[in-house]
Amino acid sequence: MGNWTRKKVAWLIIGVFLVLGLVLRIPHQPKAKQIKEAIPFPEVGERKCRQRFLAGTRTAREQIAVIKVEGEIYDRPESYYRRSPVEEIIAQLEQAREETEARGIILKIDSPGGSIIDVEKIYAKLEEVRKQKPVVALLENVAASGGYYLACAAEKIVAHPLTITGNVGAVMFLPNFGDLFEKKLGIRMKVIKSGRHKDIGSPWREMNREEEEILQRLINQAYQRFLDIVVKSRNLKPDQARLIGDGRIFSGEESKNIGLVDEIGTFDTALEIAKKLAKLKEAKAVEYYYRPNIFDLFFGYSQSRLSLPGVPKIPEAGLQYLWLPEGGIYGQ
Amino acid sequence: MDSEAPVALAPAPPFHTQYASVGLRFLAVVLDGLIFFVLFRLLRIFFPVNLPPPFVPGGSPLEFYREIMGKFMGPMILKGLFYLVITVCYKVLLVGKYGATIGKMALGLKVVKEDQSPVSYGTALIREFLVKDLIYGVLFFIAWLGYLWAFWDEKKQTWHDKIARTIVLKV
Repeated sequence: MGNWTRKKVAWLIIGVFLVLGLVLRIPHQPKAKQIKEAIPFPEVGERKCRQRFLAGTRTAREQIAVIKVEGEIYDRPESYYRRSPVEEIIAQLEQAREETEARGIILKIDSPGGSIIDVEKIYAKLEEVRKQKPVVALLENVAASGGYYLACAAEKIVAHPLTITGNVGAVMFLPNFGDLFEKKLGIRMKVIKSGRHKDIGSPWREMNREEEEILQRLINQAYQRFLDIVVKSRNLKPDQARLIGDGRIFSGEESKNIGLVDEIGTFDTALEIAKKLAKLKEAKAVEYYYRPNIFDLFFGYSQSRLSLPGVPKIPEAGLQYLWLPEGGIYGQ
Repeated sequence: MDSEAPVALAPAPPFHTQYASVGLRFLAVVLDGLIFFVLFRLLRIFFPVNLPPPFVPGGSPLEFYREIMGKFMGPMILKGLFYLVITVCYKVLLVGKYGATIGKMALGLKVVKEDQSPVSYGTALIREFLVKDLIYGVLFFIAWLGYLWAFWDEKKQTWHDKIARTIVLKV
């Protein structure tokens, strides 16, 4: 073989491969992005959303996703192993948006509202979803304040004749425990503050005029925002807008006359409208839900349900699009 | 030819070569491994890794099954077969032709039949594919015993050597 003995050839080949191996940077694993998209299991803290057939044609391929917004809207996890209701709703909306078979969304709203920011989180997601698929809002028992705010993101709103809705406005509940602590419990609170209004909204003392005006300014901003959204999405005329401006509640029938909702009906009405908007003849209404697991049994869904029936709960402080917390005049 | 007592083959080799030590043979395997490693990395340019499709609830299970099989399991099995074929061809053809893989060649090792005649393709097939792939594959962990056997064997034969009736010499 001349100068090239077999041994030398072999070492040459090995050398070439060695150099190639050191020089070429070919990842032996797919890139992070591909892995993230392909993970079939939910990540820690997530729970897989399930679906069940609700109504419509069972054998149809196309689906209308039914997503529920129930109870007060706060972005607070109810237990340590679950996401907050707001995050779960957003995740469900994202799933409905991505899934090709889901052609439309029915948003079932049964909520007196909640914290402004949290309501806006869901609203923003609804706007994003609405660009791709039609959204129909179905108002159940109560869809006041924040609940109605979310309904405004939908193309069409359906309500029962006696659904309680409206309550457009912003609110802040600031309890005053001054007398309770000082007179009944004998505890006096002393507050050392850096500025006059540093402890604005303090529950230990009466609020003076100045502070009321400051807080009123905040409330007015929030109210204006809410009103603008309602007027824009429902195409309200100024006199209609004035009717709702004082934050009153309306029944379903009344709101139809004013223009706050589009149709009076039940779930089936909403389904028909959704099918029409999605240009479908037949569809399957599929409800998105989370199956409770064994932890929910032991640790319960929420630890704060300690209220006696009939005794109203002290509502959360903070800026809210809220009518009244649960236990209010509509019971629950 | 003679009517004398038949000449027995010398049991131990008064060969001018000697049996290859286990350490050298191991090193040869390591070098082969390096070649495979880089080779398959290079091939990954042309055959990118397949990922399982994400599970999205909704939709029929049959479709999902088809998608998994068609887009993921199918190509994965084909790629596995392809790599297997490459590996087997490398070992069998090189050992059959030259009596050594590239790693062994680099270290001066040679696989020959017990009477020092060169191995044929058939022997190579038995040694490399039949025993090393199939039988050791079935035996799983016990296969290590097959390789380690050369340690204390007098002719330094591993199980695949014994079955194919070969020995490995250091030239």
